[in-house]
Amino acid sequence: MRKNFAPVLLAGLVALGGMATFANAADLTIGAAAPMTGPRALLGKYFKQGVDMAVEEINAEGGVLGQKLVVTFEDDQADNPNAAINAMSKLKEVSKVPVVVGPHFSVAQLATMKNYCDGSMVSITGASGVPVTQQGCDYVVRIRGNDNLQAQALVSYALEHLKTTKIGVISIHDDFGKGGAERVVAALKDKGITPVANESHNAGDTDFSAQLSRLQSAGAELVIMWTHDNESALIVRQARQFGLPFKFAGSTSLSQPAFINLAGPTGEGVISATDFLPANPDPNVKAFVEKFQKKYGELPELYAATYYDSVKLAVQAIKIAGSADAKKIREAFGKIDTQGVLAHYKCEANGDCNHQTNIIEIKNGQPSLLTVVKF
Amino acid sequence: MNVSMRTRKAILAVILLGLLLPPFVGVNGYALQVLNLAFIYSIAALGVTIATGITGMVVLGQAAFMGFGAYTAGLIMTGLALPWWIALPVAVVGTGFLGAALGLVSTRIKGHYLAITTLGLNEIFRLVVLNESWLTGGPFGLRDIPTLSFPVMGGGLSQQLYVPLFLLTVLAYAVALRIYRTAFGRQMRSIRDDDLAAESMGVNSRMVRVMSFSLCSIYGALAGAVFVLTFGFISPNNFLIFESIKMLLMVVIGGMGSIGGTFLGALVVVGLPEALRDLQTYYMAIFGLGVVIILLTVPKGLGIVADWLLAPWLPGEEGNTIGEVKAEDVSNEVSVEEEEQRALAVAARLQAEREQSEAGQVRPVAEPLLVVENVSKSFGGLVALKDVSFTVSRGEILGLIGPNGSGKSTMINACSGIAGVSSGRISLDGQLISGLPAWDVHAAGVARIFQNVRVWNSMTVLENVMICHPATRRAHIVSGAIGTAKARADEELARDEALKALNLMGIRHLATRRASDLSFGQSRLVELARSVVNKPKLLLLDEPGAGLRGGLIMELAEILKQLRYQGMTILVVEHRVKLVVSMCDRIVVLNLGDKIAEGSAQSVARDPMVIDAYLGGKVVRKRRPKIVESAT
Repeated sequence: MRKNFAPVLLAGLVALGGMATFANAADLTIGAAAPMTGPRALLGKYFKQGVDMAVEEINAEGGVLGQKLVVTFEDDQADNPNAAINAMSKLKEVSKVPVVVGPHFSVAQLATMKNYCDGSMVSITGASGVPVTQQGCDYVVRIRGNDNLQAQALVSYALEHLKTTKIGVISIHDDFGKGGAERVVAALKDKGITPVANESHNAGDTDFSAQLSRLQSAGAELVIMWTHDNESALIVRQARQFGLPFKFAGSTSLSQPAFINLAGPTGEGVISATDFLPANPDPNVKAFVEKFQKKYGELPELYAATYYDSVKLAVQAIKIAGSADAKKIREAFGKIDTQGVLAHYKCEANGDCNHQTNIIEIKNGQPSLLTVVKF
Repeated sequence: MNVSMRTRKAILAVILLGLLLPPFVGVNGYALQVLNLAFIYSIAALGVTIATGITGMVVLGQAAFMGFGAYTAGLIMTGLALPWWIALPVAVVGTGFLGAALGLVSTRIKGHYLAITTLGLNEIFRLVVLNESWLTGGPFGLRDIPTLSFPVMGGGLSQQLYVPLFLLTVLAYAVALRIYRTAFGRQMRSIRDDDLAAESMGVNSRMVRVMSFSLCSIYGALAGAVFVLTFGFISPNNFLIFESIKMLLMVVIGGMGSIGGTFLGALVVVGLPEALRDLQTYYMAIFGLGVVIILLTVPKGLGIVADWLLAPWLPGEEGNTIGEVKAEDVSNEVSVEEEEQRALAVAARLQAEREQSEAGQVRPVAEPLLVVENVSKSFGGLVALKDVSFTVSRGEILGLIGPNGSGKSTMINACSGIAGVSSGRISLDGQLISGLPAWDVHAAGVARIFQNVRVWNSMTVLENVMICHPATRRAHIVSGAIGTAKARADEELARDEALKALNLMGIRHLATRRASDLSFGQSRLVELARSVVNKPKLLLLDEPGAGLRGGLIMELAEILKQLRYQGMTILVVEHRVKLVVSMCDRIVVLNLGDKIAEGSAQSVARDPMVIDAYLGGKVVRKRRPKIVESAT
């Protein structure tokens, strides 16, 4: 009977899934919630590379509290709240880990807070959404600056070094661009400045002459862009073709290889804010980049750096706490004052540990560090 | 499969009790949470089953309804700081009204177009929620919504909510099952099976579609509101198109239109990926493979298991309780000879009955019942009917004949309200019926059968006939679902009358069969039974003898005589001259949209125009018109 196949196969599949990879009892297990499937699985790969490298180093140095460090990965499908809730719930109820690195996406992080903020786990995250540390959750630790920080850093650098107050804003019409432009305008407002023009464009636009001419007639000297790498490159090229003397600054997109390649020589001198720059001459970053290249044969990016740091910090906190108890580990984060790859970490009560961002400029076709803005 | 209904009820009870156990036997919070999520999604998917599986409207935007309910409940609790027992009903009712409003629009859109439209609605919902961050919290969602807790249950949130969620799910499914087998459920299914037949047999398809859409949104909103109360967080990402597609997947895995299957589908779609989590990178791929395997091995979905268990509450299966039906009648395939013998026996019985009480016959009176005045109908440039006028007197059998393409079926369609008229008017008993929707024409007293048999295949013979009974015409969802005394009495009445009509046709023994299992002749008799069950003033027959074999033709003729004898007026389109001449009091002849003759069978057969029309050329008309009789 064909009909009988279905239940058998189903049972088989479930059984296959039940073959969990159980950790040795002598190991100290921490969890990781990362995007392992779905459209952002590539980010999950970088995430895992960073974590694996940190774990390898720690175990080579004798592990933590005399135990071998093991990381259990659960898939949170990036920004899928239900997948993140289930992943965190499994880490909490089944793996019973005291610390989780991730979830990284703000919406996944916010969705899971009702789950772990009761003190069962500490989450170390790179989620940059402003509300992440404003939810009254005592068990979240954030090791990247929030979204406001980049806008503020960029604005203060521009005002201080470029000596202009005639600032125009152009952004892409999606949540990334809209949110970014809002934060730039708010940061300008804090300094008592109103932008001379606030333009926007749609995704996939190729002609920006209308926006550029409006920026010119408004008298803008500096244009702050919050859009994706392709569009940014086109905007910069077209401005140069029209002979417009604008200076450009903007989001992390302006330090990405795609922008640098597409903009070519017109990209020279463009300024942007970013949390991680592989070309950073800082010795910590240099050492990290070298080790990473040796192990994986490619340049590390933000996710690898963030979650490399997260594991290192988790271990440090566990060592300070002297136990694998979530509450004690969270208390230990209050005592951390250490240099990592992304930044110098010092944690506030709300869980924010990173108070700096890098301002970079494109020089000779390479992103190079101008300054580190600290708050 | 011969497990009694009582045993199945017992098995189901054991399974349900078993599903209540997990929180009390130390199952971990994670597994409970996954089950909770599956329960919530099973409620939302049930809405999709009602709209898509049962009514046949493909809805690809259920996540938007779920989201609308969730955001409404969440905003009431956070913005207005009102308790959940206000937020939940307001969200459900509000979304129900929204669903009805969208349903009104959707009745103008069918099939794939509706699917794409609902997909669009889903995207609109996402964009609005994303952009109106002053109200909805934007991309970071609505946070800090108070969750429900039942500290008596002990344990974490998942443990506390498990039993209430499970009971709610059982309740939601029980209500759906009840709706399914009462009047409204039958109407939904008839629209899915054949909406044209449903409309002309008295089902207000517009109302049923709107209400079905509304029911779908209500189930979605209930699931959404419960989701908020369970997890305390919602964001636009919870209600993406992908979630809608997942719900459709639950419905497909469960088996289109199977209520119990939807629950199993939800368990698979929510639970299987979690069970496979440890396969890490490839677990979603394995899940996809699992879905393919399920669909290949059980193409009708997991519903076959669920429907077997739920049989005591599904229509058709309960049929064994209809007293007189013998088991072998239901199960055995009737051979052609037996069928023939049965038809002849019925014909003989009817004839004998009528001869016994010849005195009681209702004589035709000259008073006109159906008046067709100057009716024209054109489809674009094609003129199907040109200025046709005739009347049908009360108690008369009028034959409408003509060569192929002469406009006979268009005439029948115009009289039954399926096709509008371009000009002219048709009135029944003084009431104008041209321009009314088909279901109102049916209510006014016109019933019909179709040239190609159109029964509702997925439904039982009894249900096919019950739909057309006026007692359950105005199907009220709520009273049907609750099962008020009036709703039950109406159901009983419709059932009794339907059985009587089946008896008249001599097919009462088929009452619990699925219509799809019937032979062509049997289907024709079912169609006839359902068209007379509401005792219409006028019966429209579009080639009732087409495709029938000898014995059944005899039976049909006798049945029609019996109906006329009972005072029914009949307008019949028929090709078989023998049948027409033996049956009809008068004949109207159409050719290329024109009425070319009217009168008794004999006079029409002699008419030169008729002979021309049928034979396509001039004929020396000195002989008796034998030609016409043998022409077919």
